[in-house]
Amino acid sequence: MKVFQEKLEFLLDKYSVETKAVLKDCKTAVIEGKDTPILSHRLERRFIELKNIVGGGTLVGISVMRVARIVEKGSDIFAELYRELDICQYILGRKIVAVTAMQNDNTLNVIATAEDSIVCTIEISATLKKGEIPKDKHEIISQRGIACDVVVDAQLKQDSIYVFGAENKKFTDVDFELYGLSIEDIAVVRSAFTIAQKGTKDEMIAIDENLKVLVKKAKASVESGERQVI
Amino acid sequence: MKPLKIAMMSMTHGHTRKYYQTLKDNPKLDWVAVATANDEVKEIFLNSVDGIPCYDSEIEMLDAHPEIEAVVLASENSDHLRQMKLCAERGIHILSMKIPTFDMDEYDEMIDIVEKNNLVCQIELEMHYNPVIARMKELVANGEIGKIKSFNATNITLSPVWAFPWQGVPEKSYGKRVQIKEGDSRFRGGALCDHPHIFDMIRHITGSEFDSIYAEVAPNIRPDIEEEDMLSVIGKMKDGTIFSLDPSWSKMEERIKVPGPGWEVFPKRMEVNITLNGEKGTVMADCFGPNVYHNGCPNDRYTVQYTYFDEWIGLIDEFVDNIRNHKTPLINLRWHKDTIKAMNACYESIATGKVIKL
Repeated sequence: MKVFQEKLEFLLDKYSVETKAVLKDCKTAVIEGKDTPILSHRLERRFIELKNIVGGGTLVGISVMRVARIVEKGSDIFAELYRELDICQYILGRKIVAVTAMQNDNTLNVIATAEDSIVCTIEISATLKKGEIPKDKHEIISQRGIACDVVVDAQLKQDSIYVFGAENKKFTDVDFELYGLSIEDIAVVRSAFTIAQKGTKDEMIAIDENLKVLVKKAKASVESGERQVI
Repeated sequence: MKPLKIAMMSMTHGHTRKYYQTLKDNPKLDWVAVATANDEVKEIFLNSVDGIPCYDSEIEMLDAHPEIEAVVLASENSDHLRQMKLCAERGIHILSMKIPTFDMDEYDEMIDIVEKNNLVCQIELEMHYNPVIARMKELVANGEIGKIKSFNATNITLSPVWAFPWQGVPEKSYGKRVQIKEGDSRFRGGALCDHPHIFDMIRHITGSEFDSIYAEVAPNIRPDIEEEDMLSVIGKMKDGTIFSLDPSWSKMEERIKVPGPGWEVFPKRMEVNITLNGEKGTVMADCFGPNVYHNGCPNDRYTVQYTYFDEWIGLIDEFVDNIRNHKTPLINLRWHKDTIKAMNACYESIATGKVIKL
């Protein structure tokens, strides 16, 4: 957290943001003395661009959003669901109105219906070995085009640099100001910064409340075996 | 082994052209004749294949060639029962397309006809002769990921309704006109009816049967067709494995009458990807590839050019072996019935908004 806080303070200072922001962990920042969920995935560039594609009219007549995410063993699959439900709502710009969920131990499959009858499918599993980076894919399908964060005809994302030497390495650097941090870590810093800069603390708290309701409904669906309307 | 004298009927099914190569090349076969359902498919066939007698009538073909031992029913779903009866009367073995029928009474009648006449009736589910699937089955059998916890798969393609119009007609595809759900102008018979493979494969790979299914239709990406083209399915098998299946027509196409170069609007015309999450890890598979890419003629669009392996070779080899050695096909009518029941449960779930127990 120390490095993250240094980077955050660098940004706050550079852009003359006077709001006080302290990162508590990767999910929470204390903004003006109040614990604030930072929903850092919203600041990943891929999701910002997918949102722009959907909201900016590049895609027309959205039908389906498909999400798959595989993370390491021991992860909380409902925390992952929280993240992916937020990504769906954020990119689509629409609320989720119903969820149906099926769980088998550390795997979870969900169909969530968003406004305008858009169907979201979310496939989650926590089956990777410790330390393996998450594998995920987000795809939006419309009457006029498909947008996705994985290239066509591939199962996994590419990295920017591959080194084949004494030791094979790969690098993906996406932020010059925050050079050296991973994509996920950059999103944490950028998210806390953006909330402080734009004064969206209360909005984030409200989104978090909504997501907690959705996750609760998903758990209820697992228990009841029925669709849950929000 | 004496070559099997084989014929084809209708030639209206999207998989018709898949048989041309193997029926001509396979030394275990003697391709005797075809009967075409209409002038349009007759012309396509005559432009594609030389030297095979082509008839306008199935009965005319069967009367002219009493030596025919087996027939590929390359026809719309609504014709299958009638054609099976026609074959059974003459003791002719049957290779059926992937959906024999969605009507369970008709389905039982098919089983009765086949069994009473001691015929081989193999269902065409070609994924079983796909080398990626073979590897995946081997990995599972070897315990690479331990017990399977979830099975997630796509079977997504462009829509065939412009090239094979019967697939856009509910009566011919689903067997009758049934509204997909109250207040919705669409009918059963679309993408779901085109994509049974992943419903079958999960049964083979898990060794378990369907327990519950929930499905939803999304807004069509082709608003002008009267069947569903986008749907999502989740559920649970009796052994606890959960699944998520996507059998949509989610790849957009040019509305051409004969499939060929330039069919794709989206660069990739189809995909069958399977992810198995198990107690010891995950297997992710793309069943078709690796491929090559171009942006040349006819539309200058970036396009995935498949480097297909021919699954129909293995499929036909098994069919001949079943007939000559009196074996039961891997995908026989009785086995396949529970796959069709699961697909019917998807439609029931869409109609009711409920999770359906099987």
